[in-house]
Amino acid sequence: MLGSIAAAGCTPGAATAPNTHQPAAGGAIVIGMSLIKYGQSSSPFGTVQAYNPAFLTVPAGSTIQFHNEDGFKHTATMISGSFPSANTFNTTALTPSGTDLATAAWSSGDLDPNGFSQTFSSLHPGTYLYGCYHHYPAMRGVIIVQ
Amino acid sequence: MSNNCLRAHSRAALLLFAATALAGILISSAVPASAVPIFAERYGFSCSACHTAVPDLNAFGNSFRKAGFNLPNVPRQRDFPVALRFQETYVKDLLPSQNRRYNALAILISTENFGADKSYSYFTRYIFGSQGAAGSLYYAWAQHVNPRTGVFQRIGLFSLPLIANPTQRLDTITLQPAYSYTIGHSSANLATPRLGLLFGQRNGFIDAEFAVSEDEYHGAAYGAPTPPSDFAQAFAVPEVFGSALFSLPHGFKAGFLSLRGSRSFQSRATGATYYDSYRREGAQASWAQGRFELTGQQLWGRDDNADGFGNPSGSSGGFVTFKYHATPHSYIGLRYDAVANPFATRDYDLYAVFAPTAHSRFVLEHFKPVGNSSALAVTSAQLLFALPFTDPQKNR
Repeated sequence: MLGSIAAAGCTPGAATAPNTHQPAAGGAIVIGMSLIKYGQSSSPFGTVQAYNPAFLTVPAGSTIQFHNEDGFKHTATMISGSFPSANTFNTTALTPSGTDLATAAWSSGDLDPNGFSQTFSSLHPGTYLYGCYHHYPAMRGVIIVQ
Repeated sequence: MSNNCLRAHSRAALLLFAATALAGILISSAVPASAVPIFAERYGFSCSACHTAVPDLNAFGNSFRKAGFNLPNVPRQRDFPVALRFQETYVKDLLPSQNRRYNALAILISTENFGADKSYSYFTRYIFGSQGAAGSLYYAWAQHVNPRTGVFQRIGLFSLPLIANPTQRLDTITLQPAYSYTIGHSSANLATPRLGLLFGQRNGFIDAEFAVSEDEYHGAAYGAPTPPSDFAQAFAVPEVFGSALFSLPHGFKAGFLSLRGSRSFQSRATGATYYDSYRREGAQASWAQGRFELTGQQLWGRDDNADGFGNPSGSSGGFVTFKYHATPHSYIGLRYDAVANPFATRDYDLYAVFAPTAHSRFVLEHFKPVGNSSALAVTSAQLLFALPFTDPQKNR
C-alpha cells in the first residue's frame, strides 16, 4: 500500500507539492488572483475576469508574478489561440512550468492561499491569454507585451 | 467461522482494498471527478472546481457552500435547479441485524438562488425510500448570506455545523460513531438534521454558528430504517447549539461546540412520561497542508435522566481522520473512532476513494472494530453517480 502511494506521487496529474515562491524583489508586476474580489472587465479578446489586472499591457522586458488572494487554490495557465468556450485545461496545469510568457503551456502551477508564482519574464512581444485550471471560464486574463 | 478463517478473510479483504486503491489512484489520475451538476452548470466550472470526488468538497467547494452557493462577481451561465444522485452499496460482511448485501439509494436535490443580488437561496434534499424505509425530506431550508460579511440566517431542516459533516459531504460510507451515538431512548445525537433557525458568521477567520431547534428529522437516514420504539419523543424545550471554529496559521483550525436540550418521552403503552435534560460539549481541530489532512473531534455528554428512573449517564465519543490525497481526485483515509455511551466501542475505518468516470465516485472501505473479538469487521464498496450528465469537456 505504501509503495502504491509513493508511486502515485510520481504519477502525471498527481496533486502537486505547494508552490512556495516568495514575492519577487525588484519590481515585478504582481497580478492578483481572486474569484471573490475581482469582477469582469472587457478586452479586445473577450471578457476577462477574476485577475487584477485581468487585461494588462507591459513593455518587453517586464517581470510578472501571480499572487493568489483567495482562500483556495488557483492557477494561471497559458491558453493557446483564443479563449475556448469551456474548460480545456489538463492536469499538467497544476505543476509550475516555464519562466517566460513565450514558453509553450506555461503555468504557475497550483497556488495555495496567499501563494506567489514563479516570476515570468516577457522578452517577446505578443498577446498571451491565460486562465485558471479550477475556475475557467470564470477566471481568465490577457497580457500584451509590446 | 474459525479464527484462522476470519484472519484469512481479513487478509483477503485488505489485499482487495490495496489492489483497488492502487487501481483507483492510477485511473483517477487520468479521469478527474464530477460535481453537483446544478452548480457546475450555473457557472460553467469544471467539476473539480468544488470536489475532490463527489460529494467530498475541496477548499473552494466549502467556501462556495458557505457563501450561499453564490459568486457575485461571476456571471451565471445556466440555471437548472434539480439534480439526482444514485448510489449502490455492496456490503461483503453482513452484521447479524442485516439481511441486504446490496443497497440502492436515490437522492433528489434542488437548490436555487434568488433576490436582486442572489444572496437568498433554498436547498432541499429528498431521499427516496430504500431498504424498506419510506422516502422523506432530509434537508429543506432557506437562507440569506451577506456576501461581504459572511453573516447568514437559515430557517428550516438543516444539519448542525460540525467539523466533519456526517452526511452531506460524507467522504466515506460509514458515519462517524461519535456523531450518531445515542443514550437510552433519546435520539439526541449530532448527526440528525434539526428543524429550526441557524445563524452566525462564516469568513476566512471564524466560523461561528448558533442553532435553536424545535424538532428534528424523524425519517430514515440514508436508507437505514428507524428502529421501533415504545416511546414517543418530543423536544420539551428548544434545543440550543453553538459552535466556533477559528482559522489559524499554517493550515490549522480549532474550535469548540456545545449542545443543550431537554426531551420528553411518553410511553405508547402506558402513557407515562419522563423528561431527560442533556448536554454535549466538544472540541474540534483540523490541519491541512498539501496532500495531507488531519481532522479530529472529541465529544463529552451527560443525560440527567437517561433511563426514565432519574439515573444520569455520562458519555463520550471522538474520532481522528487522516487523509492522503494521492491525486486531486482520489484519497486514502484512515479514521479511528471511539465511543463510550456508556459501554466503550472502538474501531478503525480504512478507505480508498476515486472517481472511475467523469460523474461518479467509488469507495472501498474496511471497518474493523478493535478490542472486541466478537465484533465483525465489515468490508463494503459503494458506487455513486450524479445526474444530469453535462458536457464532459466542461465537466472534466
